[in-house]
Amino acid sequence: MIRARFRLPLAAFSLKVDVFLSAPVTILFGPSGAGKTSFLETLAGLRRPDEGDIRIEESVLFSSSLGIRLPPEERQIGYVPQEALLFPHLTAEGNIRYGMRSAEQVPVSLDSVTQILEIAPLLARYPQTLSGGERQRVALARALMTQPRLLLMDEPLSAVQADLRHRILPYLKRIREQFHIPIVYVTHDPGDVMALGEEVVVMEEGRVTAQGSPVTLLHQPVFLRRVLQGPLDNSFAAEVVHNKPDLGVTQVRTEKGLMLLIPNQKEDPRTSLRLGIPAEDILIAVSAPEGLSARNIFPGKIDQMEAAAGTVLLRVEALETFLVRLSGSAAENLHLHVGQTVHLIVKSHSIHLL
Amino acid sequence: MMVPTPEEWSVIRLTLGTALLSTVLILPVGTALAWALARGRWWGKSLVETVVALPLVMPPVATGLLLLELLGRRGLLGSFLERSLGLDIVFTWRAVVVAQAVMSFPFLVRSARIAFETVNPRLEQIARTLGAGPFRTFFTITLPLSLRGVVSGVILAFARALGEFGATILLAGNIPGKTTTLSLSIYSLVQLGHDSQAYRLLAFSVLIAFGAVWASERLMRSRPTDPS
Amino acid sequence: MRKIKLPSLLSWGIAALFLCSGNILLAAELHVFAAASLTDALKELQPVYEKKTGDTLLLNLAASSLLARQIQEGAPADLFLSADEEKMDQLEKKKLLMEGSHKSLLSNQLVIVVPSDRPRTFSSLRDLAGADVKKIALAETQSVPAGIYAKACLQKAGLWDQLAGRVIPVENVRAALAAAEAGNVDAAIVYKTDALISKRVKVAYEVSLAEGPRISYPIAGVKTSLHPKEAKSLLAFLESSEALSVFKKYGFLVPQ
Repeated sequence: MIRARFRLPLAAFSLKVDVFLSAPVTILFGPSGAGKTSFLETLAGLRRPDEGDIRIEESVLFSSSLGIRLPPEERQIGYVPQEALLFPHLTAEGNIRYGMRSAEQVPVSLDSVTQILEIAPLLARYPQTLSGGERQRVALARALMTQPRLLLMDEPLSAVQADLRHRILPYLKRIREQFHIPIVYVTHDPGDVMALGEEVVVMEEGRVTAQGSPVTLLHQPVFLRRVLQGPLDNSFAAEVVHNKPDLGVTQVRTEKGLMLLIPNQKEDPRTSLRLGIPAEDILIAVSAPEGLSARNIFPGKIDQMEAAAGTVLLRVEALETFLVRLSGSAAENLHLHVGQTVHLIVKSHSIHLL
Repeated sequence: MMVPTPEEWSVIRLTLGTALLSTVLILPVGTALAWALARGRWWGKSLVETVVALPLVMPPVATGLLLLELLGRRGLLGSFLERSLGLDIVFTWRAVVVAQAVMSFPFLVRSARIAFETVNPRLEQIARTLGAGPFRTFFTITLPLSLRGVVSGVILAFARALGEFGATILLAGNIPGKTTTLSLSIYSLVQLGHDSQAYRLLAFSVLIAFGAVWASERLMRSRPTDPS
Repeated sequence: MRKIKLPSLLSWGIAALFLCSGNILLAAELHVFAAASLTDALKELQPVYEKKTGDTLLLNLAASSLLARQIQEGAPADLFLSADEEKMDQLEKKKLLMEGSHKSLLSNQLVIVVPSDRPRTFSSLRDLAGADVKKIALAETQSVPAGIYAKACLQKAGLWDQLAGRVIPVENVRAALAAAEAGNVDAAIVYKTDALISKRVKVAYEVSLAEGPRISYPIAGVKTSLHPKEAKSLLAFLESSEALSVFKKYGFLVPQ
């Protein structure tokens, strides 16, 4: 439970917020320069608001009226910045141990963190020799070792190469599941929102303009506009079932059991993959199609439909949750509506690896 | 032949001792001030910067004169020190230390400040979120990352203290056995026409200077590889 | 023959006019190297002489030891007024003095002065050994005449070994005076003439002629002078009763 109400003057505008965050993972979403980083820094105690009140559970981190201002080292808030910011003069292990409080580390232990984040082989190395993704994981481990009661992550994937980005998301999920530490995660990428968020807070120009579950936020024109504007990948974890090189395909099974055919990979069976399917590359058929060349056809139910600026976004449940983008005219022609059963059609070549 | 006579030894010892002491004395204040100048934004900052730089720019004797006014028996600070602590500064070895400290102070502050400014302040912030207070952050993050610059500032300050003359001669006088540093001794030997003795002291000064530089180079090279 | 232009004729004419006006162009600049203790007396005599003869006097006032060395190194000096014979003899040995110009001009007396805000009187030299006299300023005792005299005086009284550790040697006698004026020392041994011109020190003891060493201020012309004639007339002036009365006014003793 985080209660944050404060005013912080910034260069272009004043950051004025009044929010109550209670979800295990809160996504702070908004365009660059909206004040998201400043918000995190204020929570962490690195910035001082002009006035306001910040509390976690019962403890007061900041209160202008009571004259309380807890310094960062006493807030027990882990902060993972955008650029990892590992200490260059310490090894990965040295970095991770920096904030460790005592030899007995409960509930977050060095072993468990090392295991979950798969960083054991990196421990003796210096930050300069690590890749972007490796650095992020070490920075995450470092923050976790302080036994934080809140974890703040600032666009942790922006410094990571695109194809590696979705490798970190599973780690975050594992952390959430294992350690039960609430996370506030800043991003400007709607894909992250869809993949991670239980609750989204939208921030624009220093103000919170929307707050809710990603699904409900699709109602918000503001959020929707953002979602509609950028490329939108549906992303899933999947496992290789078997390869058919002579047919040019590989069969995979998603986490929730959906079978798909993707272009032939050379990976062995049981290898984990991360798949991406662009929302605009999914076709909708109102009745089961026959004789199509597309290799992936499966039924689903329209759970939600949002329209804006001639585009329609559908959320379809088909074992996995898909977002499908159609032109307004297509949706109209087909008389699509919520609750309708439709068939989704995806060419194997539309599925790429993340 | 090039072994110092007992008198020369006492001069060398005095010079090294006072320079070391003055450097040790300015170390905590100098690094703290350098850090405050590097990081802080506070009222009066530019005034302090200017005052710190004064001994660099003013003629050393002018600084010596100011110190004499301040620390002499009738001076603001001098009279207070004498009354409350019975401490006598002017014309004693303490004056040598004071003159050296004042003249070498700006070297330390400037070098250390520049070194601190090269350390990303975000690293310090991260350390704070990891539970380190300001002191621990300074000693475990800022200082290790800026060590080269700070040490070079210390060596510079020490070297400056070794060679100090103008302020020293005004504040401490040239009292044999008590305040005769190498520079002061060379000066009076030249005045007296004892050139050969002056050249001997000159040779020792050069040797010491070499020693200081060599030690600093060794110090720098023996540090564990800093990959940054 | 080249045609002589009008402007050049004009400038030659003006030059000739100046040459005929005598004094201004023929006036000499005389470098007077004199002991620091003579500062005030010489500064009073300077305008008098300049007005009288039209010569300009450039006074270089410092410790006699420093001045002697400067002259040895070839500094431009016309006249040298030293505070002791030894420095003058040094130069004479090196044949740097004008023949026959070396004369003893003045004498002086030593006194012990104390800062005026802590006045006291010593009944004898022994009082310098008192526990409350922690620092005694003397002009540098190996080379500066005032210091040499002071040390000789203390040695004569058998006090030097005891007091040597309290001595603060300074550049010249005026510096010793200044140290006493500032209150940074407990006592200083300077010339009586120095004590007289200062309001910020009090004389604690006058060293009698019996106790003190024989002080002599010799004067001589410097051989390398560019204006030997003018230097000699300055010398004569300084020996005149007019000049001597000024010296006496400042407390110098005139040998009979």
